[in-house]
Amino acid sequence: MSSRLQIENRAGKPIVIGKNRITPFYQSVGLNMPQINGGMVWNRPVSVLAVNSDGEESVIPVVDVTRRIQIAIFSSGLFILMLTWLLSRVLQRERSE
Amino acid sequence: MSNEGKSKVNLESQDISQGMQNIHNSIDNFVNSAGVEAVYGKPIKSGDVTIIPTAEVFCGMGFGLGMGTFKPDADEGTENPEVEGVQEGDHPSEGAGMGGGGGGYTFSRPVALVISSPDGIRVEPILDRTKLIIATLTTVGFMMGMMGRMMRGGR
Repeated sequence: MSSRLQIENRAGKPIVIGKNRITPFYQSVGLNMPQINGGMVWNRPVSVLAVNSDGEESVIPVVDVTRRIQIAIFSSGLFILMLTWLLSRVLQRERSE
Repeated sequence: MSNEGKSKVNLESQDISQGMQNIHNSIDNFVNSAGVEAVYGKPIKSGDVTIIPTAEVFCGMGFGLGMGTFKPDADEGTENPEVEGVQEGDHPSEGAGMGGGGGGYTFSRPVALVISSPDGIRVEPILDRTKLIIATLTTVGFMMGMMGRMMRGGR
């Protein structure tokens, strides 16, 4: 029995609003862990396919701005920390010399 | 094993398979609850504008089952002969028990709004300020802690 990770993009049922038709797409991440009799599912929206009355199709991505800013905050924190550590090492070396 | 004991074990195995079936049904329902209906909500109409809320959905669950049987040794007597109705030298009857438990967690967070208006279809992101404040405070706290350790180590 081994863990099974499944990542797939799925499409939902098209939603008709007036003359427009929207087809939602979402990403599904599933982890099945039979060893511990458990599992998890994480679904997030990816994009929508919009078809207007003229028949023009356009794919509009669904951007998770909160998640992006969160990652930016954590990354910049780590970057500043690494920079500070490197600077402190350089200063220590200069002092010892 | 006596016939009574065998039928008891058969009943228990039936109970277990029934229990497992119930658990699998619960898991299926649980997983379906995080499906596309949860990610893309029902359209909300307001005049010419229709809004479809979108959210990320996470759900996790686990469960456990256990069972045990008790069969006394042939030469083993009762441990407590003072119990009413039980005499010293009596053999306790066979026994079995089972138990199980499980738990789950579902989490949902709004991500964006799909807005359909006469001007066209657009996606408006939703900014979760609380999450950003928590992320900032966590990062600043972690940085200050690490810097403090660095300064103490530098002395």
